[in-house]
Amino acid sequence: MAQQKSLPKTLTLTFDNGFKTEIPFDRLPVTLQSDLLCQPFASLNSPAPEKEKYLVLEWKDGWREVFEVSQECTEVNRYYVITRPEDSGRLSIRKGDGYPELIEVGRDPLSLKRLAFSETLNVNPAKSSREGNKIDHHFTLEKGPDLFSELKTALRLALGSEGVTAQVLRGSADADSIDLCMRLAGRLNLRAGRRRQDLLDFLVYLATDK
Amino acid sequence: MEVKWCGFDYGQCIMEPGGLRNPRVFGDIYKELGKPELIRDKIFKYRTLKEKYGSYGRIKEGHRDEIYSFVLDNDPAAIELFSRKEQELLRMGAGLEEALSYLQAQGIELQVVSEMKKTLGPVGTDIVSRFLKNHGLVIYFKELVTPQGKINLVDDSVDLKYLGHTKENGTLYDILAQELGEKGISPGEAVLVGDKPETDINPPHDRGFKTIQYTGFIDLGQSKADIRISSFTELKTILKKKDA
Repeated sequence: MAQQKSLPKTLTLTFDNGFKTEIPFDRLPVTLQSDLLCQPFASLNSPAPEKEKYLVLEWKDGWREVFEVSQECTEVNRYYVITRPEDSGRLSIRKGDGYPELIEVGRDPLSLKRLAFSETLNVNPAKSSREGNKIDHHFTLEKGPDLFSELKTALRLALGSEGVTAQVLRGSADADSIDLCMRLAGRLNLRAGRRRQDLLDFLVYLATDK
Repeated sequence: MEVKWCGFDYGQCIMEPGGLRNPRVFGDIYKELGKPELIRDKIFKYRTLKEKYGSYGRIKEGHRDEIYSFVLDNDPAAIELFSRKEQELLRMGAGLEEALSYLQAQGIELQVVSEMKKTLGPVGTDIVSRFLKNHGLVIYFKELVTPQGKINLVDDSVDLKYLGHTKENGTLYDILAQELGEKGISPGEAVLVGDKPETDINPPHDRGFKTIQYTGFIDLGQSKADIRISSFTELKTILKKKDA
């Protein structure tokens, strides 16, 4: 009898402060499961490589690539290429080590109005330059009214409307607290760009008088 | 071209879906739900569904339930946001309002003629009616002719004489010709504007209607159209009201 391919059961993360968290592997987003299984540390030898299914691609210049695909794959469906000029925003923030932090802005990047970090900057279109099929749109960043202050004021009002104090934002991770944070964020028209925890932490930051 | 009536197709004509991009739709939905970590996975699943059915149009036409179950995990909040974002990100064809304003000022009667085979909710709240209402186009279009019936956009009443008649088999245009005839308008005094030769152009052309192929969003190739246009503003120089 052929040996079954082994699948991970759980993912455990151990933090440097001793905190440990665990999740059943099949509860992770499918793309993350796939990304993790592609990592060398998680790649196990197939127990029966001769029985796996493989896809090989070959290019006009002779380059070839191989992909192991699911045992459930049966036949090729179709192949197509989408060529589309994408607008992709790139925001970089200087860092001490000399390698800037790069934030990719995918949401309607030409419509970005302002950004706030160490100061609030209005984003104004400056010039566009074409190189082949690529167009670079450049913007000037001009100091504007402090967005963090606006958000702090808005959060104070939102907390008042919800009838709670800023204390409830700190340290609570239960579902009710998260619901409250999401409602507060909604009143500020604010969402997490990459990770929900960024939003929850930011609300605490805003609520903390400095 | 002198006419008394002008009918417009909906999809890829007065409505351009170019703004409906997956990173934007699922990005907005899952950021709004506070789960931005899921965006990439949801886009991946929606693209997987596209490979199952061939196009996003086909998924929406006949397999919408799978968007809800396979992609959105039957999460009611995500489903509601999906419908909302879908509406928000649809655009009007370039120059449409300018052209409609001109045609209305000329006294040309305007209607939307859509191949809406599948009702996506109670009639009057379907995706086409919602688009026309949300974009303030009800001041130009009072009625929407579909295989589901003729929908009055002002009071949401439905005239069922078009029920089951489609643009593709052409019988919808037979009913339309008959109804316009009752108002004293012959097919030769009416024009249809649309993008798809097999549903918007060739069937009405064969029944004596004038036809204009709109290629502003997508050019679907040769047809029997009298004229091809790439912008709605061209209608201002092409169409004139025919006097009684």
